[in-house]
Amino acid sequence: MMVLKWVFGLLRALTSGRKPGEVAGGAAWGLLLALVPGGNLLWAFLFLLTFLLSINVAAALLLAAAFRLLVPLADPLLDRLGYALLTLPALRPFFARLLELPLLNFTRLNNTLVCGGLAAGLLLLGPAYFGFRVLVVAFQERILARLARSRAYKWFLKLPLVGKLSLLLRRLARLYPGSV
Amino acid sequence: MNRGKRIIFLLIVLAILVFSIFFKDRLVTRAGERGLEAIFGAQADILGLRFQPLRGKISLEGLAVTDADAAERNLFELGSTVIDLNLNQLLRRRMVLEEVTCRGLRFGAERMSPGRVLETASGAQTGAQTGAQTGAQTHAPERGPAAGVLLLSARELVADRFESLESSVRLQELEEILDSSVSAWEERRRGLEEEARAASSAAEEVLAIKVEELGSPEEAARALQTADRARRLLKDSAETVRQAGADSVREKRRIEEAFSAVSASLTADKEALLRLWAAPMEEMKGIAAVLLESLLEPRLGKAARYAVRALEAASELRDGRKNTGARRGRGREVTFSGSPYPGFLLRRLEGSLEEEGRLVKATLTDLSSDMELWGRPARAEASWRSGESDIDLTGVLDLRSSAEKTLSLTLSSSSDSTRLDLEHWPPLAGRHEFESAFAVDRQKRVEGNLRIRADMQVEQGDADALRAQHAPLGRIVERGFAHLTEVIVGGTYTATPGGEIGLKLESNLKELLDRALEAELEELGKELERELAAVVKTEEEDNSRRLAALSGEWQRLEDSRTAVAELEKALKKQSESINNRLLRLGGGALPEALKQLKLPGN
Repeated sequence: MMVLKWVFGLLRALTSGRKPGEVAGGAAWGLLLALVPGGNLLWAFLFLLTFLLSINVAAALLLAAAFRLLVPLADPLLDRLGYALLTLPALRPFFARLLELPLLNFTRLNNTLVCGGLAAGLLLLGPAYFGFRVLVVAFQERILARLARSRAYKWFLKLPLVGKLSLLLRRLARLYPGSV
Repeated sequence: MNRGKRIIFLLIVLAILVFSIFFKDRLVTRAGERGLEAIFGAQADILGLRFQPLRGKISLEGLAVTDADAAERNLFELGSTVIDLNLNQLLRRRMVLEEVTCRGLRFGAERMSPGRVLETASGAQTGAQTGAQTGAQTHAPERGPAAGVLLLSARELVADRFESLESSVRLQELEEILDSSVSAWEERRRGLEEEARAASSAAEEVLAIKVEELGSPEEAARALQTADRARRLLKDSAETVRQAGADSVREKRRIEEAFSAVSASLTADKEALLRLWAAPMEEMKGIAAVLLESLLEPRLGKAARYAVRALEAASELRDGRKNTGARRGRGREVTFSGSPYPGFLLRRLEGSLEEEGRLVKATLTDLSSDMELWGRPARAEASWRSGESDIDLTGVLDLRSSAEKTLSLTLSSSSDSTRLDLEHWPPLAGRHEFESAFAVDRQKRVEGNLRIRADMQVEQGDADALRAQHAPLGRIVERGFAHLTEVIVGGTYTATPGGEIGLKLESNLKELLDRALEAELEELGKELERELAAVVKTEEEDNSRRLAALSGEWQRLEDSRTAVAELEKALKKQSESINNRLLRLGGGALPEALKQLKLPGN
C-alpha cells in the first residue's frame, strides 16, 4: 500500500506541474542511496535522512532501487576512488580521528566501496539535481501535454480499476492531508 | 516534513528499538550459532544467552556443537559462560573481551536428539583424517585402521624383489666355475709335478755324464739310451704343459666372462633395488597415515582434530572474505593505526575441562590481534591432572623487545600412565613437546611454524621383537616407526595486521609426516645405495684378486714350458756330445747304435 502510494505520489508530482525541485532532489538522493553500499550505519543514516528532507520520497526510493541494479558495473571505479581517498596522506589523520569516534566505525567508511560511493554520490548530488530538474520540467511542459491528448491516455482513464483507485486516493488525501 | 514522512520515520526508529530491546538476545544467539555452524559444519545450539549491552556482558547457560562425524554426539559442550565486553570499544567496532569465564567443557557427550550436519561438513574434514582413512582403506579395508599396521610385512616387501635379482645367480655360477677350475688345476698341477720331477731327474742324470770319460762304445751306447729315455720324458712333460696351457686359456676366458656377468648383474641389481625403493616409501606413508590417526585419537581425543578443523575452517572463511574483491561488491578495508586498542583483544580467559577424571584448567591473558599494541607479554598457563599423570604448561610471549620474536612452549609428561596401546603393536610411553618459532617482518606480518611432538618410546624388549618380526627390513621399520612416534602434528601460521582476528593457522599434518618419512626413506635409500656400491666394489676387488692369483699360476705354467724347452736344448747338446764320443771311439756297433738312437736333428 505504501509503495503504491509512493508511485501515485510520484505520478501526481510529475503530472501536477508543481514541485519539480522535490522530484529532482528525490531522484538525486536516490542516486546517492544507490551508490553507497548497504549493511552499514552510514546507509541507514542516509536512508533515515530521506524522510527528514524536503524531497520526494517516492522518487528517491524508486530511483535508488533502479540505480542499485546498475551500480555494480561502477564498483571497480568506486573502489579505486575510495582507495585513493582513504590512502591520501593529507586525509589519513582525518579518517583516523573520524573512525575513532563512537559508532562511526560502524559506518564502514574505511571500506573503499563505501567511501568511494559516498564521495561519488556527494559529487554527483548537485549535477544530478539540476539534470533531473531539467528533465522533470521538460516532461511536465512538453511530454505531459501530448500524453494528455493521446487516445491511449484517454482510454486508460476510462478503465474501471483506474477510476476506483483514483477515488481511493482522493479519500486518503482527505483523511491524511499532505501524505499524497 | 509532512505527516506521512513523520509516521514512516517514527515507525522505522520504533522497529529498530523494538528489535534491539526484545530480540537482541535472539539475534546474538542466532549470529553465534551461525558462526559456530560455519566453523564446525554441524548444528550448534546456544542456550540461555543474555546480552546486556549497557553492562557490556554476554552470559549463556550452555553451548553445544554437534560432531559432524557422529550426529548423535556433541563435539564439545560448554557450561555456564560469562563474557565481559568493553562497551566503549564495542561502539568503536572493536571486540575487547575484558574477561571470559567458562566452566564445564565436555567432549563427546551424547545428544538428546541427533544434530543436523551441514552438507559442507564432510568437505571440511582435515587432510590428516582423510589421509588416514585413505591409508586404512588401502592397507586394511576390512580390519580397521590398526590392522593396517599389521600388514607391514617387511619380508614380503622385499622377498619378491630379491627373487628377481640376478647377482646371486651369477655369483653362484662364478663360484662353481672357479671351484671346478681350481680342482682341475690342482689335479693338473699334481700330474705336471710328477712328470716334471721324473723328466728333470732323467735329464740331470744325462747331463751329469762326463762324455770324455766314456771309455767304450758300450758305455756310450748306454749313455745314449739314457739320454733317449730322458728325451722321451721331457717330450711327454712338454706335451702335458702345452695341454695344461690350452686348458687354462679356455678356463681363463670362461672365468673372465663369469666375472663380467657378475659385475654387470651387480650393477643392474643395484639400479633395480634403488628403483624399487619408491614402493616401500608409498607403503610407509600409508602406514604413517594410519598411525597418525591411531596416535592422535586416543592420545588427544577428538578435540585436537576438531581444533585443527576449526582453525582451518576459520582460515577458509577469513580467506574467502579476503578474496572477495571489488567486483563482488565487497571492497577493501583500509586500516588506520593510532588507536590504543586492537581490533580484537582478550584480556583474560579462564576455562576448565573435566573429562574422565581429568581436570584441565587454563588461563590465557592478553591475546590480541595487533602485536603493535600489546602492552605486556601474553601468558598462557594450563595444568592437567589425571590420576598418576601431571602435565603443566606455561608459555610466555613477549613482543615488546626489538629482538627476534620467538615463542617456545613445552608440554611434558613422563608418567608411565601415558601409554599408548595399539592392537598388535608394542606399547608406547613418552612425553609431548610443543614448539613454535616465528618472525615478524617490517610490515608486521608474522610467519611461524608449529610442531607438536610426541616423543614416544618403545621398550627395549618390544623394540627387539619389532626388529625380529620385520627383518630383514627391521632397521628401516624401526627408524620409520621412530619417526612416527616422534612427529605428530605440525604446521605454519601467519598473522597480518588489520585482520579481524589477525591469526591464521595452517595445518599440514600428513604432509609433515610424509616429508619426514620421505627424508628418512631418502636417507635410507642413500644408505642402501652406498651399501650396494660397497658390495659391488668388494665383489669386483675379490674377483680381481682371484683372477690375479690364477694369472700367477698361469705364469708359472709358462715358466715350466720355458724350463722344459731349455732342458730339452741342453739334453740335445749332451746327446750330440755323447754321439760324437761314440763316433770317435769307433766300432761296428756304430750304425746299429745310430739306428737305435733317434737323435734330435737327424
